[in-house]
Order: sequence, then C-alpha cells, then structure tokens
Amino acid sequence: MAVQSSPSYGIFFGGVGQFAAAMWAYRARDAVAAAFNGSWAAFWLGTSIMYLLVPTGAVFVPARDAMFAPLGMWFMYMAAVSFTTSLAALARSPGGFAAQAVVGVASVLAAIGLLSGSSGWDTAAGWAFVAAAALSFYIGAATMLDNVYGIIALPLLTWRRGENTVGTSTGEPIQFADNDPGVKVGQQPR
Amino acid sequence: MADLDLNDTRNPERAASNGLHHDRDGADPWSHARVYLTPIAPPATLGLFGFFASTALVSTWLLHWWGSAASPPTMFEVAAFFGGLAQFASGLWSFRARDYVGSALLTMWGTYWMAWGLLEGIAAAGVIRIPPESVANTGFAVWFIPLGLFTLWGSVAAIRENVPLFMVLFCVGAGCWAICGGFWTGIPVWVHVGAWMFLFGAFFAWYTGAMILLEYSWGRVILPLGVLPRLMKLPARANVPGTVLSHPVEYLSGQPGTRRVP
Repeated sequence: MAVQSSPSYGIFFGGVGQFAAAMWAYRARDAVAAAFNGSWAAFWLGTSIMYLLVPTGAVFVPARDAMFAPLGMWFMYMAAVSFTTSLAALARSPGGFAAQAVVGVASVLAAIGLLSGSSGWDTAAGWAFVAAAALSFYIGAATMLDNVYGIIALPLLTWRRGENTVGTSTGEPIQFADNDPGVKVGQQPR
Repeated sequence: MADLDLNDTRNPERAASNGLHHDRDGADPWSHARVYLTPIAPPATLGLFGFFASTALVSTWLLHWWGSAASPPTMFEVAAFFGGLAQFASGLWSFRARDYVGSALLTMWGTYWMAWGLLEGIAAAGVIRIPPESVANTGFAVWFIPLGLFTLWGSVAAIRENVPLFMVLFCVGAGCWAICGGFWTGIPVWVHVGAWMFLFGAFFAWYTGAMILLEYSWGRVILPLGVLPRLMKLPARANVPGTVLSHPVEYLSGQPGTRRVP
C-alpha cells in the first residue's frame, strides 16, 4: 500500500514544489540550486508517475530487492549530476557540498543495488538518502531562521566566518519597511 | 560610419528613422522609457544535464548495453520530465538570458523528450504499438529531420561560442540523420551509429553544463571553456583554469537576487 499511496506526494512535494524552487533559484542567481533541485524535481516527477501507473497495469515494476535496470541507470546519471553540482556548491558552502555529495553517494549505492538486485546495497542507499535528507533539512531550516530573525540562529555551514557564528547580524535588507510586500521584506506590518 | 542618435529631440524624424518614435507632441521617449537588466543564474546547465542523462540512458539502451525490450515503460517517465520539462524550462529561462542558441535548442529538445515520453506512455497503455528497430517506422523517423536540421544549424551558430557546445550540437545534429535513416529503413546499424553519436553528444552536454556551472559558482574558470581565439567571442584565457572572466553587479550583504552566489 505504501508504494501505491506515496507517489502522489512525490509528484507534488518532491516534484512540483522542488521544481518551482529551482525556477525561483534562477532569479536568486543560485546556479547550484537551479541545477540540483531542477534535476531531482524532474526525477521525482518521473519516478512518482511511474509508480502511480503500476496499478493501471501499463507499467510493471519488479519486486523489491529484485534487479531493476532502468531505475538503476537513472540513479547512475543522477549521481553524475549530484557530484557535479556538489563541486560547484563547494565554492560557497561545505554544508551544501556535503548534502549533495551524500546524495551522489546514495545514488551510486542505489544504482549498484538496482542493477545487481542486491538488497544490501539498497539498504545502504536508503540510509545514505536519510543522511542526505537530514543535511538538506538542516540547511533549509537554518536559511529560513536566519532570514526571518535577521541574525545567525543556526550556522549556515558556509566559508564566510560571519555566517557560522550564532548571534551575528545578517545585515539590513534593502526595503521600504512601511510599504507593500515585495517593496518591503515579508507580508506583515512591522 | 554614421552616428546612431536615438535621442535627437531636435530632429524627431531622424530619431524615428533610427528606431525610436516620438510622441505626437514631440516628447523625448527616453524620458519615460527605461531598460532594466535583471541578472539570473545561467539557465543552460539544468537543460544540458537533462539532455545528458536522458540521451545517454536511451542511447546505451539502443546499443543493447543494458535492459531489454520491456525496459521503455519504466524509462520514459523520468526522460519526459528531466530531458523534457526541465530542459524546456531552462530553454525558457534562456530567452530571459538573451541566449539565442540556448533558447532555441533547449526548448526544441525539451519538446522532443516530452513527445518521446508521451509516445512511450501511450504505447505502455496499449493504445499504440511501437515496432522493433528492425522494422521501418517512418512516422518516428521524420521526427529527426527537423531535429537534425535545426541542431546542425545551431552548431554553426555555436562556432562563435565554444568548442564543447559546438560538439554537442554537431554530434547530436549529425546523429539525427543516422537515426532518421535507421528508423526509416529498419536497418538497426544506422540506429546504432546514431546512438553512438548521441552518446558523444551527451558527454559533451555534461561537460558544457558543468563548465558553465563551475565557472559561475567559483567565479573563475575551473574547467577550460574550449575557446578558439579570434574565432570565438571569449578570449584565449577562458581556457586557463583560475582565470576570472566576469565581474557581477551585486550587493554582497543583500538578499538572494541582489547578490551572486557565492
């Protein structure tokens, strides 16, 4: 039942939501996020729809721990993309590098598991993806808190010393504070 | 060489002939016209990565390196979104980046992968039947005529850009004609020749996307940009790792969008 009910969530949160973030990353001039989140959003959209099609009978997916070459091959290319973006992320953020490099390692493990039909590799890949998800959550959470509070509440794990020292001001945003959303930062009167 | 004066308020007719029209009362159009340049991250990388992954995956399958005839129903979904939607979106952003080659070619190949995904999807649903590659399939073969024509034409334009991009477009554009001939006649060897050329193109697509991404993220050349001096726009030092090529406009302590990352 888990396989039947989880694809819908994968389509919209892992897919549409992440894809929208990647598109806004262009405007934020963040090339790493545009490439990494855009690639993984597409992957989530595709694999989720694949699993969604299984109950219709149009698509046959092998049993868990069996060999599944097409998905294994996709993971191989996702690993190549993730390692490339992680090297780009290293310019600014060792935290971002770690998160994306772990995604790359997890993808390699998943590719080996799916191409060989080995449950041990699949399990190792699962744990590596959990570690990558935890790192991604931390970076997203730290970025949100730091922007809302205007100080470093959680270290951002970048190379800039000020961005890792708790309590450091993140600086005054460019805004007219008593104006409309978009001109000021946020939506509430301050 | 004649001067181009778009702001000649003393001679509205001359200014109009240079491309600008004055109001009926002769007011200077520049007084209420503004051009804003809004920087964005380079869009091509996502599209090139989508093209790389989808093209390499399907090409290696066509070459029988892995999988079986039963593989496409679990291949087309990610191809439709990664090679398709993501590449198409990066092509649309390339219009914003005023990139003629990127906007034309990434959107075109994005539509190809979405179309291929749809084709394989309705085949998986049993609505149509796709013949094996040893049987002529002219309906599919004709797809590669405009693809091959426009991609090769793009490679001519890319001669002014850089060698890796030229190689992507040349390999893929030439490969389209081999693929077209293979599916048109039902002779698999031509399909395999095309698949090899697509595979080379896919590798160059990864390299081109990576070199753009790394140069932008590190603020200096990491992977050589493959420039032939005098023939291409960038200087020869674009081939030297460590060279700083761009000086972005930014407000370092500002929020995303006002500064470049890093």
